[in-house]
Amino acid sequence: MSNVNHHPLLKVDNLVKYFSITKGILFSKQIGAVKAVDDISFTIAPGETLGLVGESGCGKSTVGRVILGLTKATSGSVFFEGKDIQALSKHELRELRKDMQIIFQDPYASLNPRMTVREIIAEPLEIHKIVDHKDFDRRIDKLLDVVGLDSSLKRRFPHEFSGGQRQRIGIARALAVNPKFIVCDEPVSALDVSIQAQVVNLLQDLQEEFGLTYLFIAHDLSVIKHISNRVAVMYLGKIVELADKDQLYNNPQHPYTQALLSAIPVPNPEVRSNRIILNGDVPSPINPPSGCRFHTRCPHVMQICKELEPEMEDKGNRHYAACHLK
Amino acid sequence: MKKINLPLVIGSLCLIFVISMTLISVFFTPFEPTTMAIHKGFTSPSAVHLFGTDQFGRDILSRIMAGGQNSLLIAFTAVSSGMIIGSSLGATAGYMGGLLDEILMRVAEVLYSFPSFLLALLAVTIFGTGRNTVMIAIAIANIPIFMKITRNNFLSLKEMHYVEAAKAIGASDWRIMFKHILPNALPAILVQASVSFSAAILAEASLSYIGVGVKPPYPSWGRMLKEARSFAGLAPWTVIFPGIAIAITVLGSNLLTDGLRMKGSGESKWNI
Repeated sequence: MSNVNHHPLLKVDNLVKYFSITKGILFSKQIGAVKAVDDISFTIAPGETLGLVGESGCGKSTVGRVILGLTKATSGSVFFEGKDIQALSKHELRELRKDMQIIFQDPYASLNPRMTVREIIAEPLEIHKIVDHKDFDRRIDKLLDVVGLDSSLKRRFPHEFSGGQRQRIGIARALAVNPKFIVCDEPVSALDVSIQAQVVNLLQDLQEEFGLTYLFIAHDLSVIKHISNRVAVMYLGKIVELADKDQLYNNPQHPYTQALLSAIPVPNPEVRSNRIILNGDVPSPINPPSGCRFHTRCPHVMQICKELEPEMEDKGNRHYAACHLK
Repeated sequence: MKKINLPLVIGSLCLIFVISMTLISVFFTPFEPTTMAIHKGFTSPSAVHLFGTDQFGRDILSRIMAGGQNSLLIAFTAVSSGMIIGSSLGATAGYMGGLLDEILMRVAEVLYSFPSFLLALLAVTIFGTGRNTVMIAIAIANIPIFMKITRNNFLSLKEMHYVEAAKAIGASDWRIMFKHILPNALPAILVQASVSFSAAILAEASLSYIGVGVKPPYPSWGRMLKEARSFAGLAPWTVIFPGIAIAITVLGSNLLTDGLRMKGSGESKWNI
């Protein structure tokens, strides 16, 4: 990745997404907000895979949805190939869908149970007029072949497939429009471990074949390590650390990252792990802690952490972390 | 082992029987259903008049067959138009949400809170008596029912991941409503339709019974009951047989509903 940061494919600037909590029906008033994503910035270079990792509820899926324009950001901007997607009209956004796609976590919920595999994959072709109607079947067969499914299965309904096969159908649907960028929203979390490897490898092969760029969202650190070039760690709506994969895994700077990495099981009973156990639960995103959001659970907490929010800081080698510890 | 969905089979058979008898009556009835023969009044059931005759000597079997045309047509038209209007409004409310949803559903609740009989009498004062009035009244009574059931289904189905996936590939709102949400909401709507159908048969009978439905001399099942009610003791066949026709239709429709529900709980394609 020599051209990283020169011309990013995707640039996210100070992105904020609050979900308002309202009370009352006709004269509703806002009584609070879930701060799902709170001021995050990053870039993704063409051909790169950025891993986004964090606990459940830290806002990582929301990031993916805002990038795709499926939900509007509260503030901040998302630039895709230099275009601000928040400023696009409905029509322009629909055009952009050809370039940006998403693969969902739950392969059982993301396919319409009333549509055959053929109809599911034909829909994006139909909407964007990718190929002529008479070439639909050839294109669908090709897509199924690419994701490793037999094209004779295309008249079947989703409930006739296993979880891994369904996820492949979801991938074929995303590939149908020839996208440049795919948000993989925990694409393997719902699958068996043996199937996970197959799907991750498939995603890697496809990346190579079609020059895809991924934002890979997951909570499994080993999957992230396998597929990513760079990794961003999220905690309570903020990115706390962002670095190249090797940097992050070998030399984690943020105490939260250190705790996460220490929790990866090592397949060797001889190795003594120094597991860092975090106390307590993730605080509520409705009312996040002051200062550093991690201070309530940090083993190295200092007075300054409770008062001042740490900025993202370059620790060298394009390794960024938001922590007051030197 | 293959399980037989008994309610579905029996319900369908009842309805098929009633519908085919009614269709036959378009081309053939044993006697002319409206021709009077006073001298043959109150003939008890016999080989010639299978179900006997009424006070004017009209053949009851013929009148039941022909009366089915009115009863079934009214119920079918009323329920399907109530379903189309109600479901469209409910789908819009559920999908769009917000203020539009609030307004539409409050209107539906106001409509729902009127007793349907009162609505029918209101329709009669506006449109006068007759077949169309009964249809309109039953259709209006059905609108809020279909609005609610469709709206609730759309509200929950629009949060499904496959709807989000459709949005992500750039599908228009129309496409999402018709191709992704409606097919998944349809089983629940159809079950309601068959419930409403049997209610509509009864409603037509009650309205004709109080005299605001089909105009004489044309028969409908409710009309026949009304005309015969004073002679029920003297010639019980005049009320028993139209009553049985209503009972078979309502029973068939209710069994069909149960059958569809059973199918729904057993098979993944029919989630109700």
